[in-house]
Amino acid sequence: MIEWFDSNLVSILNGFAVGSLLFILAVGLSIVFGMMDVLNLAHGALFLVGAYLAWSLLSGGATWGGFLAALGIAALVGLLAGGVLSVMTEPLARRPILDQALLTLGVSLVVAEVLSIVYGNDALSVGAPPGLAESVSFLGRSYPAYRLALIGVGLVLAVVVYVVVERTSVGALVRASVADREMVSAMGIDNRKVKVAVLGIGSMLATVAGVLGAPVYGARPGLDDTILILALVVVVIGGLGSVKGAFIGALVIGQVESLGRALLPDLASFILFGTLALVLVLRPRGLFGPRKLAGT
Amino acid sequence: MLEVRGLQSGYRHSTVLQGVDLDLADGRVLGLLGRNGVGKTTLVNTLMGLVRASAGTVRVDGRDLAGRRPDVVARAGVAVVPQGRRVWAPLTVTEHLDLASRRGRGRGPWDTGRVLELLPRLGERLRHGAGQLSGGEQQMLAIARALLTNPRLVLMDEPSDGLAPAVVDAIGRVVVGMKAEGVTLLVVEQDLHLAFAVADEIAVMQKGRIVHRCPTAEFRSDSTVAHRLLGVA
Repeated sequence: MIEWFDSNLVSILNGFAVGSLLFILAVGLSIVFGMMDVLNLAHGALFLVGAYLAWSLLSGGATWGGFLAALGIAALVGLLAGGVLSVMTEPLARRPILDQALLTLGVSLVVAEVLSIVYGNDALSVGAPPGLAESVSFLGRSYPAYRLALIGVGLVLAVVVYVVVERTSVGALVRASVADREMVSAMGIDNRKVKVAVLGIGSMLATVAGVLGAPVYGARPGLDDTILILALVVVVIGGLGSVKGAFIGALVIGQVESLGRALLPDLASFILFGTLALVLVLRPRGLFGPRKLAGT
Repeated sequence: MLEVRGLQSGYRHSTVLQGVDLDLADGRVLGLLGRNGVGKTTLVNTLMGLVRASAGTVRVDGRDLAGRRPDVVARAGVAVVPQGRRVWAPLTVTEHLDLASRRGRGRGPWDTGRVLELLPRLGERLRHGAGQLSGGEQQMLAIARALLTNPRLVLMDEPSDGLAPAVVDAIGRVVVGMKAEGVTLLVVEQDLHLAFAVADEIAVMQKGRIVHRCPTAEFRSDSTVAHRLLGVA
């Protein structure tokens, strides 16, 4: 066992790094879907926007200033994009979820095409900021410092999001909206404002994840689809609207993706979606999803 | 304070309310009776904005609220204690009370202290998750949540539903307490004893309309009306 762990340590650490990134991406997607029934399929495109932003600011040489500026700009762009998406989906609020999903899919296609026109179709690599670009020794193995930092950022963010959602009045509003948003509205609270805020923050997390993920994945056409599918799998496994679910789901899928590709490369996709199917069969609402979904 | 005229509403392929007319004066309690499927819950949900009105007017203190969103209706002074309670299972009792007070704080006589005086049982359950409460406690929490918005009118949809007789009596005492505080109430009820105990007047719905209305004492004294309209002896 210890021998197996030792020989696969790098893949396991990669799984945690991917899991961290997926958590940052999926928690927003999960809360927006769980709370507002908005399946934001533009989430992957927002990630890609963040990745290209990082390349734009770091391609001349990775600096901390450029990296932090990319994070700041990505956060602002994400907030704005979330606000725009919220306004766009509002007229469809009383229509089936699929209508809103199709709208956001359309937005996603347009954004991805514009990025492709602006940046071309080549895969662009992005360097990690100074001090994190090298490998360090970890448990006797050499491992990229940036990926270790990414695991740390994911953990810190998970704690912050958990505390906000589970321990504050804003979080109580989020959880109440996931459980039954009509009753929240019946308390005199305007759901549309809550939706703008939640979509804004969710989209901000997606663009920020794009910047954070850029030194790992780079920026390239098609990355939006790859990452969106992984995030959707995390959301379905974890359960809609659950921070805990997004965290556990991201860790599971991070390991499935990384270990699967390392140990059984031919079956990696099958293992990923097999895990999804297994959870859906055994627990259709996901590991931590609500018994009753909002709006049903 | 409540004037409803020609109210129609329903769901995608069916019109349930066929033109409801209803008046309710300040501080009065109206018991709304009717067999299953006649539109009582649809009426409550339409008045609250949870189901969209397709025609007619709903005036609260002269302001037309028909077709408005639930948050607009709530801010106009209407609260609902819905069928099935619909408490937020993942939230504690305290979180319910805090969230409900968000908009209503300082806008009327009800604050957390006063609500817990009326519903002392909730005071012993403040840290419990709403999903762990008994049916009666959940009903009291739904009532507390409604009162903390400091409403002028409370719509209660089958508050006795699924509760043991002793708990129904306790809910009845709470409703009487609310009435004593001057709250105007529309109480949809299948339990005649509870409706008779709390209502000043009784209205009966049939096929999406209100077909009968009279003082509670008159309704109780004429069993033929109850038999004809509700199918009970």
